[in-house]
Amino acid sequence: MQLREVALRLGAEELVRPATPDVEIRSAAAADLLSDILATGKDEFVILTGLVSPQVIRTAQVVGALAIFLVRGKHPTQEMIGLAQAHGIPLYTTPLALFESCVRLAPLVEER
Amino acid sequence: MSVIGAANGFSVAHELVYTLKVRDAMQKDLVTVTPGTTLREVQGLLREHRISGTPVLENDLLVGIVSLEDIINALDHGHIEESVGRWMTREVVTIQENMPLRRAVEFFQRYQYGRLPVVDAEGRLCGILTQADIVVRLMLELNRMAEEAARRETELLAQAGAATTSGPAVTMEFSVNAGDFDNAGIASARIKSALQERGVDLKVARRAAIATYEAETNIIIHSIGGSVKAQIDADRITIEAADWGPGIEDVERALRPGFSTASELVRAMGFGAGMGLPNIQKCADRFRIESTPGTGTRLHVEIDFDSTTSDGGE
Ligand SMILES: Nc1ncnc2c1ncn2[C@@H]1O[C@H](COP(=O)(O)OP(=O)(O)O)[C@@H](O)[C@H]1O
Ligand SMILES: [Mg+2]
Repeated sequence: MQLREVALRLGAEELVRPATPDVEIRSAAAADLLSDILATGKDEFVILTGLVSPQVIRTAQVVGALAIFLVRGKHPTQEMIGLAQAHGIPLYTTPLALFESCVRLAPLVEER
Repeated sequence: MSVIGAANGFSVAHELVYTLKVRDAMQKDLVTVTPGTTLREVQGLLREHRISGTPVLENDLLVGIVSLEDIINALDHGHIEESVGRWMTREVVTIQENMPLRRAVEFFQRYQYGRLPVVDAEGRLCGILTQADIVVRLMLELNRMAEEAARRETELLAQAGAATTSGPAVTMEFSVNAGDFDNAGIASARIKSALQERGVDLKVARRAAIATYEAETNIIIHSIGGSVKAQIDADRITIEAADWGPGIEDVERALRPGFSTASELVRAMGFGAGMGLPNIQKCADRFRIESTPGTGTRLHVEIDFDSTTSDGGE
């Protein structure tokens, strides 16, 4: 599933534009704790999280996540937006809850 | 104004309407007329400058305001050739330039005007403010804040951990301060990009970055301060994270997945899953931890460039 399609399925608002919206996404890491995201061991994945902190951006950079989706309509701080821009990590916010977001993205797993 | 008034998630904008002043948002290039100007001339001016109203000045004093609505009425009732003085609105609500924008938002909510003339301390007209001006100013300010953060981050990444090269080995050192969450992840980002620049396998670089990040955050959260050192050799990276205390009493317990002494506050920031040390171990080809209560903790991590260890898997 392409990143743009993931965003569409989540009804997400784009806050930091992806350089490559057609990049292929094969999985997602859903967690509110940074260590859990760091432990994912996944590739070509996006982060779904309710955690609003600049550390989410640095964590995404460390694990090489392809995008971050904030759930429950949470809005990032301007600092987070700036960090995401600096690291070139696309950032979105979706009104959906974490579980609901996962359900919508289930095809990511089934398609494999 | 709904953009500011209604949105709960817009706390930054909320704060900004208190700190920014009316003068920061107002338009300073003014189109003004005098009472002697004809409404026909005003019509032309409004069209030319794409505005919906203009203040009326007499001897530099604000005596009224004339709007598109007045022009439409004049066309309707056939007095478009008459002068402004007779048809302008005389009771003009103005706002002081040094008021917080929040006041202007209130004004716009209270009165149904599209624009507010702005006056200085002496009551002289110095600008004009519309709701759109406020929105534009807020958007610009928000962008500026994000750009500022992006610039700071790029600078941090460029400056942190000055590398020294001796033969094939590169050494980088980062000091890590207690409680300094703002800088958590800088060492790991630098180390990751240094490895990628060397053409090290992305998965290996990622494991080094994860281990470094967890080590950094442990020093920030649990210690009184320390440092992270990385040495990149031809075939491996060695990461040493050391701090000056307080040390760990029961190292075996600290290594247990899920064990954490992090406070609620730290947990709310997303740290303190009790998975840091286990994550580091998983990423390392060789791992050592030494800790003496009162003296400090020292982590030693080695990752081989040709290793096939994985950093995760559920
Ligand atoms: N550098 C350190 N100094 C003192 N205590 C530490 C240090 N690193 C880890 N610890 C202790 O080990 C525990 C487990 O660490 P870790 O696995 O990283 O989980 P977390 O950091 O999420 O609590 C910590 O909660 C803390 O009590
Ligand atoms: Mg930790």
